[in-house]
Amino acid sequence: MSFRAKPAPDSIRGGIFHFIKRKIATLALAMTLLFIPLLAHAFDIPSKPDNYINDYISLLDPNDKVYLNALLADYEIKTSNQIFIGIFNSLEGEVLEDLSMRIAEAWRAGQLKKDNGVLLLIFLNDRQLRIEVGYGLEGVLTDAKSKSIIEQILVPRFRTQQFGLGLKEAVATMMKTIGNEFSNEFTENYGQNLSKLKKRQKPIWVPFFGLLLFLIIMANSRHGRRGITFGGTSGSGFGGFGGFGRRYFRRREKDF
Amino acid sequence: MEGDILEEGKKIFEQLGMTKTAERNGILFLLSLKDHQFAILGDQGIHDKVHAEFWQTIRNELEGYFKQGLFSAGLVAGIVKCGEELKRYFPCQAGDKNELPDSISS
Repeated sequence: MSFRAKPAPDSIRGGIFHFIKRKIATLALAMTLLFIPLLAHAFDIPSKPDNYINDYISLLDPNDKVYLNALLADYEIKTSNQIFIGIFNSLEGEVLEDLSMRIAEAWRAGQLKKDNGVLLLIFLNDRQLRIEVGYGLEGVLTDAKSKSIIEQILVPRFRTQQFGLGLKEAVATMMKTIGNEFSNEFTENYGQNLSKLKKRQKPIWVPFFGLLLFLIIMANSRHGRRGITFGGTSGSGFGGFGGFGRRYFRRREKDF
Repeated sequence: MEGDILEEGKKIFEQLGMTKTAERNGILFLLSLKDHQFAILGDQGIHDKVHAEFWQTIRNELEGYFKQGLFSAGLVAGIVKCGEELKRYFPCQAGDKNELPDSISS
């Protein structure tokens, strides 16, 4: 029906306009509802990472990155605790608390039953930092401790652009603070635990400008012939550990 | 492993053909988990240039890590440190190639 070709009486026209207005309003509402999730989730959360250090903006020196990944891999082998670090450009306009929680849920640091994960998030351009601690560890890595790690270590280091150093110190302090929580006998099972871990991790290694390095981890001996002149040194005596554990996510944040 | 890990290391060093570098500048990190022992061996070319303290420093650093069960972190830290030191004596030269594998054997 065309209401233009043959103008309807005012009363009917009013009804039609009202009807159209309502349609537009409904449509606008529908559009808004449709876009709310898109607006709220402007930040594209990466899927659960393979590494402990997830530097999406190449902020860290490659040596620091390899070192931290190795350190955190050792730490997981030893304690089963997982410390993940995410370095992002910005919050993409999202709210820190909400976004960090969603990343925590997507990445699920820690072992499922123990909930022993820690997530340190850095949003560089927004100068926002946040530490999310799984319930299993919040008894030891408390809000107060997390706060002091951020305020005493990370903020001052980040202000002077010492990102790698700040993270190394922060990780060391977390490990020390958590202590023996969830630790187990690891030395004898190290090789076994390592191969378990390797299965889900991509290998990482550093290029060494034509330096010649060779590395051996040996379980047993081999034999050979006489020696030649070498420089070198040896050391011995590394020991074991003991301990056990306890529930999810708490937080701490700070601008830097 | 029988005997001294340094002696063992020398044998392995040769067996792996690590002495076959032009500047004799290979380095071996040897770690025996079972025996709780480790050794760091540098070839002649390196030993002639660095001081004995160099090896001690690296040793002490690695020991600190290994005692805490942080094996990969200790190795990475040790290798990075060796790398920094060696850069001074063996800067990358034109036509350099990787003469030995940068690998881990087990």
